[in-house]
Amino acid sequence: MSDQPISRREFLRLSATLAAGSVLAACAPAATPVPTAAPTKAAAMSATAVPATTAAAMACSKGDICIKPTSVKLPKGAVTFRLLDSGDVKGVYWKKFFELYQKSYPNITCQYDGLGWNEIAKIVPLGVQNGNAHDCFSIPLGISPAQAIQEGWIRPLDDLIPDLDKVKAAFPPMSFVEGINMFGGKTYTFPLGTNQRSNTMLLFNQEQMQKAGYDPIGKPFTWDDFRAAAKKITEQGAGKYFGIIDGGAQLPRWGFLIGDLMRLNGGVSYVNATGAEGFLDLRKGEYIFTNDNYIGAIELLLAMKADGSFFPGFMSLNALQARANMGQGNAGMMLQGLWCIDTWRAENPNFKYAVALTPTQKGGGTYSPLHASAGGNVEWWLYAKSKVPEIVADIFCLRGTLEGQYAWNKIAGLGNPGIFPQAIETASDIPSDLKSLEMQFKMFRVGPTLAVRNPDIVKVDLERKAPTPSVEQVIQGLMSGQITGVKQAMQGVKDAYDKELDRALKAAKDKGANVSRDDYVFPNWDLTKDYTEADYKAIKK
Amino acid sequence: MEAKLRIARRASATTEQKKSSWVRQLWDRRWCYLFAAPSLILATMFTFYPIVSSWYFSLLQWSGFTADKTFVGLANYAELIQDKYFWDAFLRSFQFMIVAVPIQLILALLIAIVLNDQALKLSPLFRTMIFLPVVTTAAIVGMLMTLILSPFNGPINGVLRDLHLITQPIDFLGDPQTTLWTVIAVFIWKWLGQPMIYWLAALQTIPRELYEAAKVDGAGWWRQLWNITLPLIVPFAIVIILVTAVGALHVFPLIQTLTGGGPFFATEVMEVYIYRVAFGGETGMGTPRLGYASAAGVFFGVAVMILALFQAWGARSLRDFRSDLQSV
Repeated sequence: MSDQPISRREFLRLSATLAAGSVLAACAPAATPVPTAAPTKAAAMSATAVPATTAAAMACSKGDICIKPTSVKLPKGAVTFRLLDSGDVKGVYWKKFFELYQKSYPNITCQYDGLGWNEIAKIVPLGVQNGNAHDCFSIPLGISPAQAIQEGWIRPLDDLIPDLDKVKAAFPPMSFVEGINMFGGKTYTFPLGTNQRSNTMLLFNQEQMQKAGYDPIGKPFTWDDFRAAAKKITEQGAGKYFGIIDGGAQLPRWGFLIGDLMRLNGGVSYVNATGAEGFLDLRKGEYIFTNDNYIGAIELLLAMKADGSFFPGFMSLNALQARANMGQGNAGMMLQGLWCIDTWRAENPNFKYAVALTPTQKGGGTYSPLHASAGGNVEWWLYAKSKVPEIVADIFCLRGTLEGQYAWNKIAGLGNPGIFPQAIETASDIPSDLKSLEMQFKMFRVGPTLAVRNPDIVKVDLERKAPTPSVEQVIQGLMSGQITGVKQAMQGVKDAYDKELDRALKAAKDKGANVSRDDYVFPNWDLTKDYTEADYKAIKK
Repeated sequence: MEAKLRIARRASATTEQKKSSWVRQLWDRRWCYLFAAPSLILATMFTFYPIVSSWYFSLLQWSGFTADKTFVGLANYAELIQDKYFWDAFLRSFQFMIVAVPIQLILALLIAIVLNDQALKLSPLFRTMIFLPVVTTAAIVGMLMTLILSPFNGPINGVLRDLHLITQPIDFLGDPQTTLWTVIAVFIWKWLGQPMIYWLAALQTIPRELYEAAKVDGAGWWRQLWNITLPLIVPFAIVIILVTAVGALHVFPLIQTLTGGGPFFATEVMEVYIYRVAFGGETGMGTPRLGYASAAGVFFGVAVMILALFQAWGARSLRDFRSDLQSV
């Protein structure tokens, strides 16, 4: 036995090991032996340090997909299981996962379909209507889980996982939330990913930035620095590359860009009851469109466009095309998510990227945190008429362990990290990427979630229609020059959104919902802290 | 009384005769009906049924995703009439058609006339080249065109700059001043081969002897075109115009991949509008409105039908005019 002191890294590994042990124990069948003693230091120092509760687990290294029995009773006969989601890096994970799952359970045939959201919007309702929907699917955008339950699309997991409470206990606090992933006290899905993901980290070309004489990592940008750097990079590019790029044809990008630039300066907005981006300052219950920070952020981008710093043709690019151009060295900066990195590493291995904090008005790393709703990222739901619901429960159980999270992060963790913060180390083998992830998580706090305070608020979301033009469309119109006068335009947007929210509230009330505009006001919200259960209790009527 | 009975018997016999002749006709043409049946069944399933369904859906407040349907009568139509973005898209669709169709038809005719010249040895090659974009998927053409038209290293901007026609690159698809015209130009290029083939088919119905006789009489190329070619292809023109015009109203995949209807609605034609309303748009906020989108679709369908009827009336008038001329 070594008598060397335990380093910080070893301590973290040990903690992770203990957590893994407890989570595995939670999902393990009752007969499975649970470790009673803490692992030795030697075990903790091992590179493949996840302690095994079964012999099968011994074969799995950290980050491997490890299929082992859970407390869920799986079907014995030959069955087919089908899963549908929006694909991308998720598809890479599922294909590997199902390959191993089928090997472990030869009686189960797995079918994975990764499709665009447009196709999901057609396939899921049709499948439900015909009684042959995928056993596990993503709910189409624009349909809330509450609505899916009301329509009989999805069912809870409670009767499928015998030790559900134990499994849930392994998740971070506020992971299971009524109105997000629990309804009527029943658990409908596991929040397997984090929703604390920024859409607007400053991703930049190291060589071009260095040549321009800026260091946004050492000295995080102010808005003025950002503008000046974009101009400088454009000038030095002399038509070969430009200061900044984004997907101007992809409408939601405008909401993210302006929203985040504003939020980091203390202009608050929220994530609504169904998890989509919202635009209310929940301290006052007012729309933020006429907020000085919001107007300022639009004016900043307009000024950068007037400088000629934007990549030519950015208005007709989508986010993927913008990312591809960035990887080819055609632009110096882009405000997007860390998921771009996986693509660049695969497609542009010579591209030297780096990540810095999103520019703020004050700069120097001073910012007001971004906020995500409680309840994590919920992507997969159990079809109400699935003939193999146990398989969905089993897969959720496997994914909801530290081991499962390590494996997920190893494939998808950079862009779509799992919900267990301690499992993030497998997300990349490059230290700077892990630092970027750490920086991203630091930017976030859990904000107030409307449905937690009043579950009836989801009924308002069901009534709401995006005003036309939406805020994203108006910003696009301002950027393309089809609309002039930022303040006037944003006042129009605010009026339209206020009118629509009031209409939706009235419609929901007429249908029996107990809601009011006061439900959108959280006066005790401290932006710098997580909004906790105690805070909800404090404002309870 | 007897007379009445006789009349009744005769009437009954006539009905029987009619019935038997109807059944006999059906039996005699059984092979025609049998061969037509698959396409009739498919048309019923995939054309007539959806059309009738959309009439019904247009009377509902319905997202299209759920079982929650509320009958709202003509409320969707009433809302549609007030919807500025609907009218903008509606007019833009016809603007698209009015600009694209004449240019496309004239260009296609000129190319068809040139390619119809038997002296041109490479005409099959040119014909294939011009027709190739027609059989290429519109979405792929759209994707490729975004690269070709790009203001950053796009070859079209490169050529224009090399010719000193521009000093700054043109953002064909991102500038609201140019984007609709650009989409129209891409549409014309992509579908040019189709009317060209129609025109070629029409041109090949003109007897060669007429041209030979005209040449003997000393008629030049223009005179032959004006006095022989054009008058004799006019009956075909009505059908070609109709097909091309209807085609110009179905541009969804091309516009969706080129611009998505933007920037800020600048290229939002009716199909893109219907898609946006039916599926809730990109932002995913609020409930998609299949009922309302169906109302827009029905309204637009009726407008297109009126156009088609107008053209059918034009074709009939022309035919009557020609038969009058022949009888004189």
